[in-house]
Amino acid sequence: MKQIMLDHLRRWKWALATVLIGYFTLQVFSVLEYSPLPNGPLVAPISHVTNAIHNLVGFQVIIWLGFLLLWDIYRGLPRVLTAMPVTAKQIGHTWWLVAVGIPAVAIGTIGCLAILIFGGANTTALFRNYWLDWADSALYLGAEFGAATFIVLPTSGALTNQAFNVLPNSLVGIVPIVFIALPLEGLSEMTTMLILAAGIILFSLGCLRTERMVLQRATSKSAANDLKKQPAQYKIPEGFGGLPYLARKTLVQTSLIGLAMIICVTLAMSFLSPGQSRSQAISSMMDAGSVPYAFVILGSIIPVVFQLRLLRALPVFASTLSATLVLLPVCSLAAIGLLVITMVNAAAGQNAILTPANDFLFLGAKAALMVPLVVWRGLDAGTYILAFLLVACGSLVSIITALSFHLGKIPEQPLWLSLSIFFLSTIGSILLTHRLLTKSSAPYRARVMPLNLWNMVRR
Amino acid sequence: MNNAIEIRGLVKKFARFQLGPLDLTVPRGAIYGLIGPNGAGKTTALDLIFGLGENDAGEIRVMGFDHREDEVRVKQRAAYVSQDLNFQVWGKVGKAIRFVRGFYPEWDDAYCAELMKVFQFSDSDKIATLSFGAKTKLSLLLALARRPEVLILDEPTTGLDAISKQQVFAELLKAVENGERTVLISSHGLSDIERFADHVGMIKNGKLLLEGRTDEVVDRYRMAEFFTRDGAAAHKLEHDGLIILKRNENRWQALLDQKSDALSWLQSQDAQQISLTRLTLEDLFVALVKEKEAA
Repeated sequence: MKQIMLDHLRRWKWALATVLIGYFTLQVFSVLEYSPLPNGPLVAPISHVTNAIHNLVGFQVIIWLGFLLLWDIYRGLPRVLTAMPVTAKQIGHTWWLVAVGIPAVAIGTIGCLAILIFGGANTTALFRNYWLDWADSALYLGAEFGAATFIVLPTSGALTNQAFNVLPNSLVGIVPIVFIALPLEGLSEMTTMLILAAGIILFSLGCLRTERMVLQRATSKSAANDLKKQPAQYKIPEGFGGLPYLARKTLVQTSLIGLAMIICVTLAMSFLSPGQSRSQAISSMMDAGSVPYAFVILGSIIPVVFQLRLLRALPVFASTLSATLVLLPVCSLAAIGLLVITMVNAAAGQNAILTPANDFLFLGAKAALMVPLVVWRGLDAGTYILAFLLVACGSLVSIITALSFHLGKIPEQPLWLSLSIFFLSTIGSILLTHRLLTKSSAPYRARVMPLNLWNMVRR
Repeated sequence: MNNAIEIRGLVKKFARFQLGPLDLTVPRGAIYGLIGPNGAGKTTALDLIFGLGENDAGEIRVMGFDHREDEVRVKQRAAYVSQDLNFQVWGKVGKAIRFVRGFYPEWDDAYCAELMKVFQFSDSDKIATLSFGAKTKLSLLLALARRPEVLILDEPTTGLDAISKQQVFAELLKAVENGERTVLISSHGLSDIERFADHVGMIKNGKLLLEGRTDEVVDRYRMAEFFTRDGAAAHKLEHDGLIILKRNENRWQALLDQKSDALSWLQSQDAQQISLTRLTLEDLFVALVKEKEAA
C-alpha cells in the first residue's frame, strides 16, 4: 500500500504542488477579502471577482487532486497493480487515500496556513468558518470519488443498455455542479440538507466500492470479447465526408450537448434559488455554465487532436488542417454564444447583451489558444498546468481591463477590444498550430486518450 | 519515372538520435521491406514521407512529387497504414469509412465492400470494441479501398495472428499484382519480409546498412565456419567483407560477403575446413546488427 501511495505522489508531485499552490492562492484571496478593507472605488470590483473565483474555481481546482488518479486508471494502471502482490482491497483503499484522504488533509493544512499567515485580527472568526468549508471540500472530494466508482466503460451493448449508462457516467459531472451551487446565497435549508445527504451517501459508497472499482477497471479490456460478431456489411455512405463531415459532427455534437448542459445548469440554479427572475436566470448562464463551456472546448479539441496522425496522412494542406483545428472549438462556442445572447436579448433587453458578448469573445480567444497547447503537449499533466495558467492569465486580463474601464468611468468594456483580442488570438493560434504541425514531430507521438471524451460525447 | 520513392540525404535530428544521412530508393511496383531493430529510425523515416514532422536536410520524392511542396498530391497518391492511426473517435466503422472516403474521389466502393467481407467488418461495428488486430485491418482497408499508387505500412503485422497475417499479405499481393502499385513496409516479421518483399533495406541507428533485391541481399552473404592453427592470431583476421561473429579456441564463425575477396583472403591466411552456409534474412539481420553493436 505504502509503495503504491508513494509512487502516486512521486509521479504527480508537480501537478499536486501546482493544484495546492492554486488552492493556497485562492484561500489567501478569500482570507484577504474577509479582512475589513477601507471602502473605496476599487473594493467592489475586486470583491466581486474574488468571490466569483472562490466559488467557481475553488471546487474546480481541488477536483484535480482526485482526477489525477482517474487519469492513471484510464491509462491502464489497474491492470499493472492487480498483477502486483497486493489485494484488490488494498489497492482500493490506497486509491481512496490518494484521491480523498491525503488531498483532504493537504487542503485542510493549506487553508489553516493561509488563515494563520494572512488572517490577522480575524483569525479566530476565519477558523470558525473554515472548518465548515473544509468539511464541505472533503465531502466533495469523497462524493466525486464515489461518483467515479459508478463510471461504466463503453461496451457493445444494445442502445437501451447504453442509455442506462448515461446516469452513472453523468454523476461525475453532476457532483461538481451541485457542490459549486452549495455556497450560493438563497439556497433553502431543505435543499442544502438534501445536497449534503446525497454527498454523504456518495462519500460512503465511495469508501465501500473501492475494491469493486479496482476489479472492474482491471478487467475492462475484455470489452472486445462481448462483441457479437455481425455479418460483414457495407452500405455506401451517403452525403459528404472528409473535413466537412468532421466539422459537422464535432460542431453539432459538442454544441448540442454543451447547450443541453447549460440549460440543465440554469434550470438547476433557478430551482436552487427560487427568488431569481427569468432575466437573472438567463443572465447567469455565463457564470453557471463554466463546466459546460469547458466541456464544449475540450470536446471539440481532444477528439480531433487525438487523430492527428490520421489527419496528417490524408490529402489536406497543413494550413487547412490548422484552421480547422482552431476554428472547431471557436465555432462551437460561437453557436452557443449566439443562442445565449439571443435569449439574454429577449429576456433582459439589448443593453444586457454586451457583457455576454464580451465574455464569449474572451472564452473563444482562450479556446483558440488552447489548441496549439494541446497539439504541442498532448494531454499530460503539464498541459493542464499550462491550461490553468492560460485561464488564470485570461482572468487577469479581464480583471485588469474591467478595472481600467471602471477607473476611466466607462460603464462597459467596448466590443472592439474583445473582438481584437479574439481575432488576434485566433489568427495567432492558427499560425502557431500550423508551425507545430509542420515543424515538429511532437504532435504525432502516440497518445492515450485519458478520459475517452468522444465516447462521453456520443452518449 | 522508375522509382516510386526516392530519398536523398535525408537527415532528422532529435536530442538523442539522428536519422540519416539516408538514401533510399523504392522501385515502382516493388514490395520494399524496411527492417531494423527497435529505435532504428524506421517510423521516423516513414513519418517524414507524410510530413509528420520536418526533415532537417535532404529531399523526399514520391511518384516524382516533392513531399513538402506537393504535399497534397503525394497524399492523394500514397496511403499510410500504422497501428498508431486513431479511428476510435469515429465510433463506428461506417463513420470512419465515410470520413476517409470524402478525401478520395477515386474511392472504390466495390473493393471496399470486398475488403469488408475479407476482414469481416460491418458498418455498425464499434471501433472501441475491435481487437488490436482488427483495428490494423481497418487501417489497411481504409488505405487499400482508395487504390493508392504507393502504400506505406508501418509494422502492420505486429500483434496479428497467423491467419490475419496471411489475409493482410494476400491483400497486399493482390494490390501490387498488376505491377502499378508500390508497397513500402516496415516490419519486425523478417520471415514475412523475406517471403513477400522483393526489395529490402536494413536500417540501424538511423543509417542504411544495406539495400537491394531481397534474393540478392540474402545470397550475397554466407555464414563461414573455419578453423585456424593458431587461435591467438585473432587480430590478424580482419579484412573487408569478413565480419567475425564468434570464436571458440581455434574455431571461428564469421559473416562473409561473397562480393568481396574475403574468401580467397581467408584461404590465403591458412584457414582450414572452411564451410559456407546459406543465411536467412533473419540470420543476416541478427549478424549485421550484432556486428554493428560490437563495433
